Amino acid sequence: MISLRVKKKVQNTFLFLFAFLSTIIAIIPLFSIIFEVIKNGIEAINLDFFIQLPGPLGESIGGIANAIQGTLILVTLASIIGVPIGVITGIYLYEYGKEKKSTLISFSVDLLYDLPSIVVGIFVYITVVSPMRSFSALAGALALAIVMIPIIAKTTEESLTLVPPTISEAGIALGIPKWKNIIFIVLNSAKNGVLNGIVLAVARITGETAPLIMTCLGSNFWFSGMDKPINSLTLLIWRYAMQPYPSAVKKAWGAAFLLLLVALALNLLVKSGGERK
Amino acid sequence: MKTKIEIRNLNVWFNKRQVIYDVNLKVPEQAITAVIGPSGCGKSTLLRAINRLHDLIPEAKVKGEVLLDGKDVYKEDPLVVRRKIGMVFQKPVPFPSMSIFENVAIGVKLNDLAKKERLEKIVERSLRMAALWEEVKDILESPATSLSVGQQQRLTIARTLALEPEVLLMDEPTSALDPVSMKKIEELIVNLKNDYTIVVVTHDMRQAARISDFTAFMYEGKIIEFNETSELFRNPKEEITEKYITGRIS
Repeated sequence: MISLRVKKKVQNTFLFLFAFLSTIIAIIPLFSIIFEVIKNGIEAINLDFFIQLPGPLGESIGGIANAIQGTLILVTLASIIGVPIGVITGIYLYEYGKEKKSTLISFSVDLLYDLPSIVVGIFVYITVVSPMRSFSALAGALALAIVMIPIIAKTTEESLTLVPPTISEAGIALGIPKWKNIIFIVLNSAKNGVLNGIVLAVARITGETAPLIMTCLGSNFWFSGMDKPINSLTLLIWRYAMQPYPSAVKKAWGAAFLLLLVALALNLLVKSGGERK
Repeated sequence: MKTKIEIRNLNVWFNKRQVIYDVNLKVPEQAITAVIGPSGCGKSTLLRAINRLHDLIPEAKVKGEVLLDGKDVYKEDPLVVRRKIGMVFQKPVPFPSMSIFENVAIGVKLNDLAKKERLEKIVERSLRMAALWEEVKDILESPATSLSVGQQQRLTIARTLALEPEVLLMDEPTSALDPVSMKKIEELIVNLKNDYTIVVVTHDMRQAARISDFTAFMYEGKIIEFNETSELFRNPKEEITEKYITGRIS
């Protein structure tokens, strides 16, 4: 009897240690990345960093203001396109996704969700950049919107599915027309989940690089029109981190630090939103 | 007594399974009619056929007529039918993201039935009728989910009353509640019968005996017996009714 109990205790301790060590190993890279980004990034931060153009490569003056501006424009425009389409697609999947005729649509959304974002970049390059004969902010925003739509559609669908059917039924029993019931009763009951999905999608596209390389190219100047190339934080990191000039690499670290803060802020927003429920 | 709702030869199927068989029933106006019977006998299915809630379920098929003031509800606009025939469910389902005020106002608002200025009056009147006004008048903007379950059920009654329906259908409205809340709702139902025609589905025979004027006993999808409540409980005509009310089948 005693030996059995001892054996169980040993097993238990061993498994606990194993799980604990695995967790440590898993989070070491994460924390070392965060540590490196903060350590190197913080040195790059000053007022000029936020308000100046990058200037010529290799010069230690200037900032990344046009990349900040570009990311804001791209993400805003992508959200204007992507959020309504994503939410409406989610509503469709919730309402009709289980029927046979929509198998193709729900399958497509799944596929789009798993599509490597570089493929989205190539697609927009062929359909928008090539015919327009120019890299453009519009093409970049379109590519980001395409990345965004399946994320929002799926989170919207899931949030709607979590609303008890009795809620929808109670709305219908009040004589509310079906579409109003879906939007003002069911979607309204699921709004925290839907908003979280939108914030997560915004966080995701803020950090996207691949689709932008092939669509808006990057630029050293301020935003000059929807049909012109535009810079973004991720594009700036991608180009500057590979330069031999220490000043360029420093700007890349600074931009990475900024992105990290944005990601942190958006995730905290989601977390506080989740607790509001 | 005038008949408010007349159900004629009503049959309901879910897929191929028939749940309601040839039901005929005359529901008198401004009275409480209870529908009793063992669970699974089709009480709730019958109730839902009256305000066309089965329309939502693709597998459900309804045949027969439900006449409201002589007009078949299955030939009218279902939205108008549901406004005239309100429904209160077993579990209180306030809309979780809305305040108490919004919960009561939402049906009127989304149906474009009243202007903003009138909404406040409608909400107050409905909450008063549901005997909830005194408890919530100072917290109208609080979330509806902060209320107790019993209060939530009275809130859903107020929400239904806001649309000024003619008929109230209640599907076991007290079975999720504690005895004190149950008593309050029962008193409320009795008060409401002066203005409304009420159909209450209940598995609690004593409740039917306490509050209803008429009682229908359902068994295996059929209405076995329908009579004044006192008469049905005192002198059941069918053997199976007697067995049920004496607790020999459940």
